[in-house]
Amino acid sequence: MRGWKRWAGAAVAALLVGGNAFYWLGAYNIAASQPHLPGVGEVLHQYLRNVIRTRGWGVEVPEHVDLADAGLIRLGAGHFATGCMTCHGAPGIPRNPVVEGMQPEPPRLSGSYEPEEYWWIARHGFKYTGMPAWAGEGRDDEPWAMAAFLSRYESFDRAGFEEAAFGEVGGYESAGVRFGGLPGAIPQELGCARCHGADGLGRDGTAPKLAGQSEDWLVQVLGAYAVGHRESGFMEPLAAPLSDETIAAIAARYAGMQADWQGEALSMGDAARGEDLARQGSEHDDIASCLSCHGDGEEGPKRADTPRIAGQDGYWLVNWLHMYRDGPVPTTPRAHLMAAAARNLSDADILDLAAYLSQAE
Amino acid sequence: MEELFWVLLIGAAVLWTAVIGAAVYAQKRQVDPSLERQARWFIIWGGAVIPTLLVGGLLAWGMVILRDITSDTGDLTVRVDGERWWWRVTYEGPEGDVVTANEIRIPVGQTALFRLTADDVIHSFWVPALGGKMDMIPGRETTLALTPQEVGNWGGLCAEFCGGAHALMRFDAIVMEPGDFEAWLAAEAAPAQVSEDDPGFAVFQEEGCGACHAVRGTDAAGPVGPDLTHVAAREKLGAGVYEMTPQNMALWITETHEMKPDIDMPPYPDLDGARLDALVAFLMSLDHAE
Repeated sequence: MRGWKRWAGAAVAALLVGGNAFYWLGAYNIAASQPHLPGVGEVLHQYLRNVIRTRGWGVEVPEHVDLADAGLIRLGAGHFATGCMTCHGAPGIPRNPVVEGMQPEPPRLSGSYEPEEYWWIARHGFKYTGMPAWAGEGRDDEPWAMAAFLSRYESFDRAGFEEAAFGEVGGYESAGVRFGGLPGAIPQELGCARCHGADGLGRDGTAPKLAGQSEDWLVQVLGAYAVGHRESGFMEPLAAPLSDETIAAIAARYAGMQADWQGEALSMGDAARGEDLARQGSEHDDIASCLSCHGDGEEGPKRADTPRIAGQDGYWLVNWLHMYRDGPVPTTPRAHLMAAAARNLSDADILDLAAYLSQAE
Repeated sequence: MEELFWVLLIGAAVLWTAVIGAAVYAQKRQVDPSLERQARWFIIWGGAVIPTLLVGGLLAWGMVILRDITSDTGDLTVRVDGERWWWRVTYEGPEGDVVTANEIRIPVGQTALFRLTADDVIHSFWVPALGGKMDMIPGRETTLALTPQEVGNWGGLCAEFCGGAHALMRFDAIVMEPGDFEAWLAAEAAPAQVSEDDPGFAVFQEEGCGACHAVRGTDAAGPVGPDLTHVAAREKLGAGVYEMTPQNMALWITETHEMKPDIDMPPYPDLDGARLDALVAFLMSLDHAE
């Protein structure tokens, strides 16, 4: 018994000394220039796959998200160009040599996961790999664009990808992949047009319509994205580097465009009930009328810093109403008013309102 | 109601005297085993038969009174809808419904029938000086008839815990002379006199107040919050909580949740200076026409 105890004590002491020596001397080399010890990389990568598979089980495609929607796929491609292709490359576009020195090396993508799994990866990222979580904290609606694009990744060639991600934007040179930026130089004010369209009408449902929104509102929202007062994984990375002058110039340009809105309808929701709700509100359910602040398509909003919503795409109306009801509510000065208005909406109310407002004139 | 009180008081006094008398008598008298038969007779009648008849009779009488209290007729019908945490009040007037809020006015000596509902949770309507409380239950209607005997402001409140601002869910219950009441109801029924170029009304419109609040006579028709058509004619602000003054109105708009926690109305802290003054002046002008 005594002997056994002595041996155990010696083993613990040796472990303590050895472990400390290993830890403080940095014995295991984590240099990215060195490969893993045999088998370690495979085990870690398999573990990552296990995590994705298991977490994917708990993810469901929301009712209003159509993964085959061309606009949603274009939006995913556009954000892929903003945030992902620097490290992952893109269809027909190689990675920048800088990232080939990373360990683990960001993979070139192949469309090998399910849409729910892509959503999970884009939303949460991975520790210890350089893969970030979604920049718009809490915006669970946004990564579905990535799921839509990535599950069709293999069907894109270079020209198809460039058309989807950049459209007809002038100034884009597809020659090389710069590190830490868009390929080729796109003037910042043209960058908006990639998704919102050169006419501000949202490129056939790729992104919200901006044409004719008030300058006040555009400045406020873009500024809020820039400093994180309004969450969005799409908009924050693009707005953060903009100077106040650039923001003012962008706002002035979109405010001056022709607001000839006709929203993409949703395939669900009861527009007649939505109209009733938007105009009159509901006594029993304590729902305020939308149009009392936002106005209809003709008269427009009652205040310059209130956005126009009549004729906006149904998809965005649903996402925003969910955002104001469930969070993350923007921390801009008047956002709490919208949160109060959205608080008592049911899922069905949201679909009905979106069905009406997307078609409202 | 008053009758019930005296009958119960005198009846209780008689019964109490009889019971105490019997107890004293039992202490004093000698024990005599031959009286056992009489004792059984006393227990059966005094312990079972008489109490059953008495309690049964009182119950029947109480039911009759209760039927009167909850009867479905009155000289006047008022619908009160309990909301978190205020009262939507609708008078069924000769020329249709008159909607107001947070203040009950009824004529003295007449029976007012209250038809009570609730929108969200259970509330309870209670004017202690005028009668019993009655629960307001979502999905059904309860009724309560009150016949006030004296002119005055008696004060009412919600008597069933209903959430955060329950303790601030009160109202003024004002009993008036019938003639005064008729004049008040007519003034309440009239639409608001709002001039189109009132700068305060412009602020009201821009801030979207009409999304929740109605001002009859304008296009503000929001059904969610209290009707504001004659808000300044009420004695209190915030469902019977604050005096109706311009200062309190301004605080109500800018520091809403400090005035009354948890309520659905959002605060408008960025309203200040001339815009706030104009809005408050407009709201305080929503009084009865002279």
